[in-house]
Amino acid sequence: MPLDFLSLKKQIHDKAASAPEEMLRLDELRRKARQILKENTKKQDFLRAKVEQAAKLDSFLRCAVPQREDLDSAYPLPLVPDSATLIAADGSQIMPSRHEAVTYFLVNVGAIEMQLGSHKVPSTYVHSDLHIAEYSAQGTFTEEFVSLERDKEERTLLAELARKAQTSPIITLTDGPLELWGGRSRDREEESHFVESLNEYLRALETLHQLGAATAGYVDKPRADLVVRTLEIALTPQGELKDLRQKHSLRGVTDTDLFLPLLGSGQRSALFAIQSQLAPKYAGPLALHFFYLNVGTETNPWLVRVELPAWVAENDGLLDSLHASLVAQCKIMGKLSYPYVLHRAHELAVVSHEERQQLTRMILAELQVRGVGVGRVSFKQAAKELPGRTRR
Amino acid sequence: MEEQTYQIGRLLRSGITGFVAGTKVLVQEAPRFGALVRAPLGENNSIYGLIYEINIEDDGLVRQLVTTDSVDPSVIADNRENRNVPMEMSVLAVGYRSSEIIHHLLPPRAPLSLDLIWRCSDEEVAAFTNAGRFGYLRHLLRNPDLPVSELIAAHVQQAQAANRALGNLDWGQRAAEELIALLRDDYTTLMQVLGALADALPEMSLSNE
Repeated sequence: MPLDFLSLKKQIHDKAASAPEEMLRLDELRRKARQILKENTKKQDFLRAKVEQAAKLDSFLRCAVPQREDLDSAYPLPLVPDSATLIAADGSQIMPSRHEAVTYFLVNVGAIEMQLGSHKVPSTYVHSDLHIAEYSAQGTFTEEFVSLERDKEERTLLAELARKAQTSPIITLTDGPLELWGGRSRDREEESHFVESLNEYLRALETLHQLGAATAGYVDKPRADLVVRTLEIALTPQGELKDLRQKHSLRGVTDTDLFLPLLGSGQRSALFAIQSQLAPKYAGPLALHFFYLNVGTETNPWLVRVELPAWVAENDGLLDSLHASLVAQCKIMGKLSYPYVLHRAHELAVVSHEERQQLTRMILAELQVRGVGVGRVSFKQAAKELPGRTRR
Repeated sequence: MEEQTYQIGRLLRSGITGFVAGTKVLVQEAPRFGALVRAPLGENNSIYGLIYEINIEDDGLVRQLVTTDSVDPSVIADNRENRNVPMEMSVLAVGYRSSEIIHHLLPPRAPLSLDLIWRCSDEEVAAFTNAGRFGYLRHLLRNPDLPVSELIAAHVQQAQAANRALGNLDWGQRAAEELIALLRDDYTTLMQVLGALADALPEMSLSNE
């Protein structure tokens, strides 16, 4: 059956009726939030101390930690370095599926290396890692398991390529936050795998640190409220910090709402550290930081969040090279302001549906040649793949 | 200078009357409109064809890049060398070779996907174009969808150069005379072909007497 458009039309009408009022409410909240930001712009010490107290009461707290720069400051676009090695990596995957005739998963990582300031043809790399099984000694191959493997392999490949880079500075990029996501499972196997993956991930980051690379994670269209949360902490009386989870006086306001009016084209915001449950794992030079960056134009601003480790945040030269290179890469894409190298890394990594089918056939053929019995595609999956579906 | 044979791409799709080959976009050794090429047809046999269309497919990224004020040379190089955006060459089948004999007929079979496509050397061009009495030209003339006059002119220009390199100095004149004979009942097309030939080969005297 197709969508019930008659009913949906009424639902859209009803739900949209409250949208203008909600928009006015949010606009007022945004104005309030910007005012609070302005009032606290030079209170970095006060805010840091309060965040520290709140984190002691709730280790799951996730917010921004002001550093030395004024909160509402805007830093102009530096000059692009005359030469640099820019390396971007992205990962894709084929998730294990019990509906297929054979259970396997694939992590495919693509990377591209460009020499800024030269006319050399960029080098491209693809690394495909296949696992054929339903589980290993570490546990069942879940989607979380595969995602962790992918994130880890992206960073490992970057470290490997950075080791061979010949031109400084070295700038490495991945799409998404720098912080490895996970570690919240109650399942012992999953938790153990996360710890192991995190350690490997941190080793890769440490390698990049030793090489002096400016490494960063790029978050397009961020919806986070890290700085907003810090402002909520600022508003919360000392005695009520223990109830912080229930205190969201600025809920609905995002960091983008705060910084979009502040940042001109090419400008970056102040630097912040990240307070999160796992932040202590990223210690010393690996400590997680971020800034917001306007990669759009004066008439069409576009904010992104750039996450970086302390060794880059505290090095003006590396920070400026990273800042300038990101804006330059976004300009290559014209109106679609997204770093060219990250887009190319994605192109190299992505696995098409046809490639997935081909890989499945290859695995089945090899197993059958070796006399290994294989399963059957589930009837549910087979029915989905019936050709010529034009009506529902 | 004598042209050698070289590989120009791989077959994407094919039929009896022609095939499409794909190749990376390279400035050097780019295949030419009107060039004679060959594809394998079983062991030691070949299908011959003329390139009548060359397409470079665009894609979303390239379309985005061209909207900017300038494109970094390394980005251009990346798109030409690394990205799988092939140049597609459409080839009209004009004959085949079987057991060392050249036939100006449609081939008995189509070449297979991913077969290598080769640009013919001067020797091969001379051998093909001198086999029989220009019978292969009718494959060009009967196809209304082709840019007939330009294709003939481009082919004759290249084939004449190949024949001259091997000492066949009168090949171009003989080809023109055969075209005049084939098109004597189609004055419009004849004039277009002769006009194109005159542009391509100004040194040749062309007459429809």
